[in-house]
Amino acid sequence: MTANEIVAKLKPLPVSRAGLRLIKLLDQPDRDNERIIQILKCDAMLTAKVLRSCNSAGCALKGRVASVDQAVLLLGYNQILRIVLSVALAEAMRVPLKAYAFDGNDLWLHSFAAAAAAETLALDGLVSDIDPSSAYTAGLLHDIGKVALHQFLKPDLVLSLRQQIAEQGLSRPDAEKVVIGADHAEVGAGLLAQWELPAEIIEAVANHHHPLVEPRPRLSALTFMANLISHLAGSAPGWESYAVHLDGAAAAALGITRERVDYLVMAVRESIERAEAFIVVE
Amino acid sequence: MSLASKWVIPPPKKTLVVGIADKVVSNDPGAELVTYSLGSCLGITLYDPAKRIGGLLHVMLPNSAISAAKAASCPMMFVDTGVPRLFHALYELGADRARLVLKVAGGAQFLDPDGVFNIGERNQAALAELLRRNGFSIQAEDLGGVSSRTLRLQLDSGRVQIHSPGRPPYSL
Repeated sequence: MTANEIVAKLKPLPVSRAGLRLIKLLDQPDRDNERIIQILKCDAMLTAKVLRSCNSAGCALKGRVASVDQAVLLLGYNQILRIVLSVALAEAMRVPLKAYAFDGNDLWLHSFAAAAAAETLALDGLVSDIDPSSAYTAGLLHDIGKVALHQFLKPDLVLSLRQQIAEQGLSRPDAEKVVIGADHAEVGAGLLAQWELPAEIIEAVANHHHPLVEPRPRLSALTFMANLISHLAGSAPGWESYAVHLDGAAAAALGITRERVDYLVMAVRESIERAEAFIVVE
Repeated sequence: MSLASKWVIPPPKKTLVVGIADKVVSNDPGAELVTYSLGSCLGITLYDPAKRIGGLLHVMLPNSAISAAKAASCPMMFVDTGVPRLFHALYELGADRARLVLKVAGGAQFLDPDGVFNIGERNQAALAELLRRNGFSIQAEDLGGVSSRTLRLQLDSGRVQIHSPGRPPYSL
């Protein structure tokens, strides 16, 4: 099956439409608070969850936010986006994926770890032309294709996938391609295209295992590195989680040398711990 | 016969979880120490079989020289600062160096022919060098590969078990 065939046959994922419309504002610099408020108000459930999150113990505004208008004015788009991502995608991504040996929280926590890592890399002076919120969003969504591919990964396919990795020494994405015909990166990108998310996010997710060094901005290279560094910083759930190719050219293009990488792993570990405190696994 | 002695249900096993960049030591023979998601990190167990005292350390990076501040606030993150502290914590509980048994697992590697990021290998090398300088040897190891590991140390027996997703557990 091709990625498009898989996306076409997919059972729809439970994702808030209003949440997706909010992500679409990433590449619209003229977004104003009115527009954000208008979108949020279309989804009462999402609004309620955003308000609950704003008032929770982990948020600086705890107990002081009574309305969406107030939340948006106080927090602004970038903070609201992070909260919306964490509530709009939870139902779809906080699921066990047996085919990957993920329990109910594994994909969710790894996605936040990669998001925190991508944001850290974007803020660390490695790149000057990538918006940290785009980096965060790409990191959070990089593995969403696994949720989709999981619907098609029957036990016999999982077995041959793992054999390809163990016996042929393939990377997991390459093994997925051999066994199913498409890898989770392509399928994830197809899903995001169906949701009409910004092109830069789709490109970053599509190429997060085969990063592009050109053209700039190098969001796929950044997402690729963020994923690998989150693995090194302790977020590597599932089986054969290190069966991933390391693309030296992408690391070099971002200025990540062997000397730098240990420091980044340490910094990303700190961001992951902060992110885990923020999302609070119930 | 007193009432209490009629009850022969053994006390529940205590599981002590060791986080990333963390260590736990214990002299409670009913305890089991466990650390999850060892990828390129190293899990190091140290055990005195005569006194049934043991410890488990989960280090992430080879060398603390990258950050003096982190080395001070979180020494268990690094091989060079974490391993000596594991030994000293066991000595404080009364362990004898001559009896100590050290086992290590982890050090997974990406598919990385150019060795750009070989943190797993560098962690192993840093541990080997530190132990060599101190005249101490590793008794058993399970290192490298592309899978994550969960590592357990049982303090009653000193048994060390490794579990990788999708494989039966095995002893080290």
